[in-house]
Amino acid sequence: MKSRPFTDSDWPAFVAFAHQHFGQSHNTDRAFNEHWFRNRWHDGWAARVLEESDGSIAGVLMLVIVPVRFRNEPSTLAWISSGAVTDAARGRGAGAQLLLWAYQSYPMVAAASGNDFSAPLHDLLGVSAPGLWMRRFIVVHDSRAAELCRPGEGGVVANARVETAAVPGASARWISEIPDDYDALWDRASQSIPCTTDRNASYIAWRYRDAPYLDYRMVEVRAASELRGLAILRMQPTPAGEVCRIVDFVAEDRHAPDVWGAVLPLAAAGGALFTDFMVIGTRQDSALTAAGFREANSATGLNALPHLLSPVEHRAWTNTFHLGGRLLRDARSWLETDSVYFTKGDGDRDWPTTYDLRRLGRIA
Amino acid sequence: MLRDEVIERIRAFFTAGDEGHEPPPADDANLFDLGVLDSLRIVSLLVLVEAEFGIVLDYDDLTEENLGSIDSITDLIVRRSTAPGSPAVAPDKPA
Repeated sequence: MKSRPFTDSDWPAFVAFAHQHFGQSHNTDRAFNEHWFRNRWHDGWAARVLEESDGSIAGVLMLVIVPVRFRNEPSTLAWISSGAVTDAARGRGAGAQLLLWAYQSYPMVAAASGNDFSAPLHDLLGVSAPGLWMRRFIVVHDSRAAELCRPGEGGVVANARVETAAVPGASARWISEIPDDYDALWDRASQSIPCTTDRNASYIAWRYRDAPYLDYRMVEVRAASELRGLAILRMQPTPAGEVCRIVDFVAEDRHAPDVWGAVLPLAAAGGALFTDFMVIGTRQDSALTAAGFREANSATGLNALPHLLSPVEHRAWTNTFHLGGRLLRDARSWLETDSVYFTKGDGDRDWPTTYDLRRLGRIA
Repeated sequence: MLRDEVIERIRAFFTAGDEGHEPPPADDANLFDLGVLDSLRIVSLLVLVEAEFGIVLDYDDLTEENLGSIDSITDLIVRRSTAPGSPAVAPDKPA
């Protein structure tokens, strides 16, 4: 097997490969793939092919390249996304070759929600810090949210309703365009974060405004005329009603509690049964708690609310998180739970499912 | 470091955790055919090579030709270590 870059001429064979080996976890809509794997932060496709001696595809690894700020310097980060090898390539080091290519080729590499095969490889190739994984915080607005739980498991959720109220001095409103003063907010907010996606206006436009097949909405929070925060969310339909998934959030640390507090009444007024936010890193913990969020775990009982809602599934996610790449060879010396900030909107964790695409009429 | 020392370390890698149960693979046995070299084992081997020999193998090195046997892995390490700027490993046994 020989590894080489993915090119346009691979597309037809890739579609057949993806249908056979990725299954429903990766759709083969060309526009969708062009958006994610051939974006402005990478020259050509951010993907690698393993080729058998007869020219057939033995494996593919696809990466989502995004801008990052690492210790206040700009860089790029490669999120490990879809990857698979053929049955014939298993046990011949195909997965190792593809992952090693990624870790050796990019300044920073991140991998979330590893599976039984990939997580041990990321343990060796990257770094994981104790307590650093994707956690979920929830505010229940309506006791009907309990209908999404398994039978007999919704009691805690039904009684977890939190009354939200407007925050004095902070006004939140739905917006359709990224505010002109957003980049100034992001510059202020990101100064204290050692390692995070560079959530500038250009990135936000690519990731949310222009992302195919998901309808994201934005909320801005202002105090007087000053932009204090931006939240990006999508309202997700479920059999019990809509829920509010906040996928990105930007505010200066000192204003974060008020910004969260101002966003929640809007979500509740919009009919959300609950609002959730998934995050890697502990920087938002105190602000989330102050606003009424609680972590979804066995201690709070809020883990009874399923995360997978398109369709509703009670299957547990793996929430592993690893960082690696050329810039991070000394990562163990600085990687702490409050030194990184990634959200569910980063990488490929918030993608349309096959169920979503059917609902939108994109596939039969 | 001598080639003999490198091959001893690679042999030990393939018997680690299995002492007294299975005989170690022959130096020229095909490790893929034996099923003892999957992706996790390969990455573990890379970690060992970097930690013990100071050699960072490239993803292009991970071919079946290079990793197919204890002999070929040893040859790869010796080749990399005698490249300019690499830690010195004597390619041949001392006279």
